Amino acid sequence: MRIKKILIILTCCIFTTGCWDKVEIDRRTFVSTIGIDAGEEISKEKELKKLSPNEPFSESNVKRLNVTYGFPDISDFGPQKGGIAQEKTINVDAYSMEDAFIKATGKNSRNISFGHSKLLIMSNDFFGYPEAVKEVLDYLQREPSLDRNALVVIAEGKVEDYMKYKPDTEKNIQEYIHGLIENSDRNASIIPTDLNEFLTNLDENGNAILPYLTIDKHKNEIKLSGTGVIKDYTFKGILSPTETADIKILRGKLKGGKKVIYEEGHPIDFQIDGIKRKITMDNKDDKLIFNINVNMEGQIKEYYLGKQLLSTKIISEIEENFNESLKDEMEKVVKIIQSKYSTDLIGLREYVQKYDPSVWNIVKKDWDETYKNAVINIYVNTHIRRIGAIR
Amino acid sequence: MVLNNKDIVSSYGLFATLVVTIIGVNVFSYPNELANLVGGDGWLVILLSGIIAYILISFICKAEKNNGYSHIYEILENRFGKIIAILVGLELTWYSTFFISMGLRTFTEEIKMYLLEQTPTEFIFLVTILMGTYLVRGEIDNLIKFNEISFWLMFIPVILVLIFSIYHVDFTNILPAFNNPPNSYAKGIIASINRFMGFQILFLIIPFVKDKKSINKVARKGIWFVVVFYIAVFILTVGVFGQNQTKILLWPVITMVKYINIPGSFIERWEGIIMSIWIIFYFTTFTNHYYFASDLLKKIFKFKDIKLSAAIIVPFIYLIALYPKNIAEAYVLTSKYSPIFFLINLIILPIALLLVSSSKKGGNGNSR
Amino acid sequence: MKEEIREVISANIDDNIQYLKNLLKDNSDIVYREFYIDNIKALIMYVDGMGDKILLDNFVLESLMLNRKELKAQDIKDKILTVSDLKEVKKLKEGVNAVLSGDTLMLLDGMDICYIIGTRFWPARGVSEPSRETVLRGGRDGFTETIRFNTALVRRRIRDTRLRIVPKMIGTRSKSDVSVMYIEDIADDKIVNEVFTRLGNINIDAVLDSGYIEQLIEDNSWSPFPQIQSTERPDVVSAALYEGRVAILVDNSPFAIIVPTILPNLFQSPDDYYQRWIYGSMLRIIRLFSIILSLILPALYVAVTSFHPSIIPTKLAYFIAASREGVPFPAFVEALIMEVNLAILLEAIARLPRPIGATIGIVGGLIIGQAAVSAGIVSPVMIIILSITAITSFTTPNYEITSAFRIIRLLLIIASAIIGLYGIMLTLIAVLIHIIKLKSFGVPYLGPLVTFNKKDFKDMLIRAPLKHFKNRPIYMNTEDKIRQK
Repeated sequence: MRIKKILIILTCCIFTTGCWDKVEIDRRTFVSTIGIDAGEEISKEKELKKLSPNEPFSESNVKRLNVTYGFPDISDFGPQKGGIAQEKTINVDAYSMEDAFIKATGKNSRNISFGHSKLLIMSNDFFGYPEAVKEVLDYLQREPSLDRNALVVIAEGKVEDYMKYKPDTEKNIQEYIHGLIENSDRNASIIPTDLNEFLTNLDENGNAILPYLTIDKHKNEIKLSGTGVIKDYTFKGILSPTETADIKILRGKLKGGKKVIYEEGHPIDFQIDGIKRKITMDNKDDKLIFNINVNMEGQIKEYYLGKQLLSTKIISEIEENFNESLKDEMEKVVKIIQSKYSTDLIGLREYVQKYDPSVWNIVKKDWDETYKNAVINIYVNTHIRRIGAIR
Repeated sequence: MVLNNKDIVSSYGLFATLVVTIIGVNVFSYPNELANLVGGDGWLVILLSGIIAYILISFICKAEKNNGYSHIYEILENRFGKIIAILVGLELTWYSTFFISMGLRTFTEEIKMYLLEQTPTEFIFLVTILMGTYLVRGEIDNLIKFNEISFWLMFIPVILVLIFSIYHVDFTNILPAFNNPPNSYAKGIIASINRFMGFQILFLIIPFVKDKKSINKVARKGIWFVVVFYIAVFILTVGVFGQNQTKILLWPVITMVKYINIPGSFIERWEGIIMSIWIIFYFTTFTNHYYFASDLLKKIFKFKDIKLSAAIIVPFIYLIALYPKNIAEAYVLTSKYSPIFFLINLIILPIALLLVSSSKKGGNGNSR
Repeated sequence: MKEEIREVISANIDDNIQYLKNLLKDNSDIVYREFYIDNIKALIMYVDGMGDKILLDNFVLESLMLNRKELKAQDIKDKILTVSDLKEVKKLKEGVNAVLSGDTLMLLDGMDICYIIGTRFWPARGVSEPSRETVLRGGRDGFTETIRFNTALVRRRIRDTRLRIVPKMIGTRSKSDVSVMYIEDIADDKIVNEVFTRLGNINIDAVLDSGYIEQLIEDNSWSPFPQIQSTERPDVVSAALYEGRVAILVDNSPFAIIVPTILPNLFQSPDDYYQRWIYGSMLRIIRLFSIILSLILPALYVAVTSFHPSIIPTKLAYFIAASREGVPFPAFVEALIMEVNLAILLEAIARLPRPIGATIGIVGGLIIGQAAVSAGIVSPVMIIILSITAITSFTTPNYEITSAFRIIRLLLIIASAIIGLYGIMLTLIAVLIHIIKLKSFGVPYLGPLVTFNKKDFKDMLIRAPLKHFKNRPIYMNTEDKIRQK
């Protein structure tokens, strides 16, 4: 009997107050791309430091960030039509990410929802201001509805240009970049990073690498190749596609790619099917010596009509040549990273931390120095498994 | 509804009840706490805590056995006298009530963050408490049946999800091993022993178990299951996020579930399903403790049945759950008071019972 | 007002005749035939339309009236009357009740007993396949309205001497014949006794259908779940008896009721057992899956579109959003409209004469649905959900469980409209708690799921090969436990 009374009261309450979280799906805007750019007044940090926490009207209109939200426009569809929509954007200036969200809500007739965000574009200018970067990162981690599977890329110049770009094969830029990244299994010059990896890496050591996006305004093309290097929350530089491919191999994460050597003036193209990487470490005279063993497997894709490949001697010769060529190449790339960026992109730091904690306890204070002075030897072992359909 | 048959709980029922009561909401924040204290060695801490919990459980089982498997209140009354029995009974009731109120608050906060942002907290409280009351009014045999069924409902999906998450896991994130100062392990054990809280439900059930001889074995299996489950969750979480991220994320398991992605499956985000299943996790812990508290009250005040004592507890749960101003305060309250209560109720009490009953073995009481 | 019938049979036949004519006055369908057997006055009395005239004329009247021998009273019964179904009765009340049931009452002058001749014969429907319980494989006979034919159909399938068909008369005015059937050494005594106790407690004036009895003996009238199974098929009844359950047949009703009933029983169809186990298991799993779907699909739609669109894949979310453009009602109202529409359609189809009924189904479903979508009143996704729900809800063999699920579906839609996914879960938990508590005649409603005996699971989700059906269900607590060696 008591239960019945409570139920009656409860039912009355429900019908008088209503359903609180109900937002119809057609009243929502599903943001698919978020673009973060440096605002005009992003360097005005000193002024903000003068504000004390208990000051009134802290709502300042400092234009620290310029945020663009890209979303598919569903409003011109009726029930009979469906499909992929045109992408629209909202651009706001704000002092923080949450402020951007509120301002965007003011500009949009629908309820903005991040549940389906798939892409995060950050401009390299933005990374020139590490304080702002840290604020944005806190927001990205704190917001529970953001999908951690979202891809992160770094773009050259103003993000708004990228968001407004209309690619040929897809209807919106988010799909396009997604497709490009999915192709990265074959194209070794992209190292895809999702939000989770990005945040984790930045948390561990303040470093990250992101695929680099460039736009060619004359040809109206967007290219995704190469990698942007971020150290201590600032943007340090770019790695070229070849360097990126090598880094990817050294990280042990390459799933496919291409390497080439020239023989008698003709290129021999080798398609990589898979690699295995092993690291070992020696500690001599306060210097760390890393030996990286790379095992590559693949097939020859292109040579020269008339040359036969079906002989073990020829194949082992080609394999030897690849070994030497790649060893030199990769060692050079690693030297560049050590001296120019002194950022560990290959995972050596994690290796020491995990497998040799006693050494890690000693070196962790001056890791950057140690890394800079470390000796890194690379040994490449190529295996050509297939040569295609002809001899 | 009068129980005509006293021995109604099968060993599977005992197992399911034990597991389901111990594993509750707090499993989702567990990796965070452990990572902050001992980094990647959380699994070791879990193991040690599990062993301690098992020792305590065997104390309880032995104490019950020595006292003829009677209800805890009767044991207290017989061995210690009426006043102490009432005090300890009230204290046990208070512990259970406090625990489920804090759990309710935490659970509601999590729901509000991930599922329902605007719905008022009070409403979620009301509805959950109502549902718990509905179950508790059905007497203990229905409670046990519910536990048995929810065991399957809870663990099959969760284990499936955990298996799928292995795809994203980097197991080397657990390393380095054993790289922490020793007192952090001690702190870790104190913090994590609280996660095993819940085995006082044995006080309630042991009198009703059919096969009295296998109680120890079944309890052991139960604790092992809990330990393995906790360790698996911990390792997978740290594997997916790395130690540093795990230290920051409040509820790393939920975030991990959001992150995993089974290619080609219809459901893109599993968090909806997992949140639904996880409601059952909380609900079982909630109702079992609720029943225990109501049952104690019933014995203390000599009510006829459990409906009145359940009704009395309801406003307490509601008010205590509303008390913390925000989630930080809820956590502070829990971490401050839980170890104390745990110490009193789950360490001192079983030891006291054991000592008293082994010294007066075969004395007065309901020995059979 | 209580019915008063004299019990004493007077030796003077005219006295009896006058009493009887007075008792049953103003009835044009009761026939009184006075005749003489040699020189003893006799009377037969029967109801026109219920008594078998041919039997009476040829075997009773002929053998008696054409008799030329000297007779003693006892000889009439022992040597002259060539009728097989003959009872000697001392109370007039029984005789009158027998006449009103279709038998013939025979009185003889000078005797204080009467004879009841079994002459029940009335126009009855032929045995045909029950329309609501069709099977792919199995017999096509179904119960009719005559209880004696029904018991015969069961008796043919259980030729065991331990089958008991116990008669009871329930209904103070309808005096309906009720037969309680069970197999003595299989059924649990406690259940049988409980059945008789509950039947004895019924004190109603008329029992028009077994549904009355069902509602008067069930455990919990408030629950939407039926705790008693009703069926028109004799093989279902026989299988149930073999498992230790008790069946009750009521005259004038082709529906037998079986107690105790657990939830898995309501999802089983007889052809699960007659076909091979792979198909049987497949059918079971499909059935279970479609039931779950029919239950939660509308509520899920409401929850996902209104509360948590981040759960579904992105393309689907866009599609649903696009398809709901311009629809005036929120998802919750759409779902409610759909539910009400479905209920109205079903009721209309059930009441219409058969040829029009099928047409309305097509018209109502397809054309009106399509028109509604074109007008923009409902979204196309809703129509899809409506049709899936409707189709999947009919996969249960038992109609009453469909109605139960309809109620629960409505509750789920309302709950999901208030607090989304959490509401659905809470309601499902509430339903689960409810069916855990529910008992049918002492057996827990969830049966094997609750008692958790591994052997019982052979018949739950899948149907194990028949060779493995060695024991009877353990949750029924039968006396004889072995089915097959």
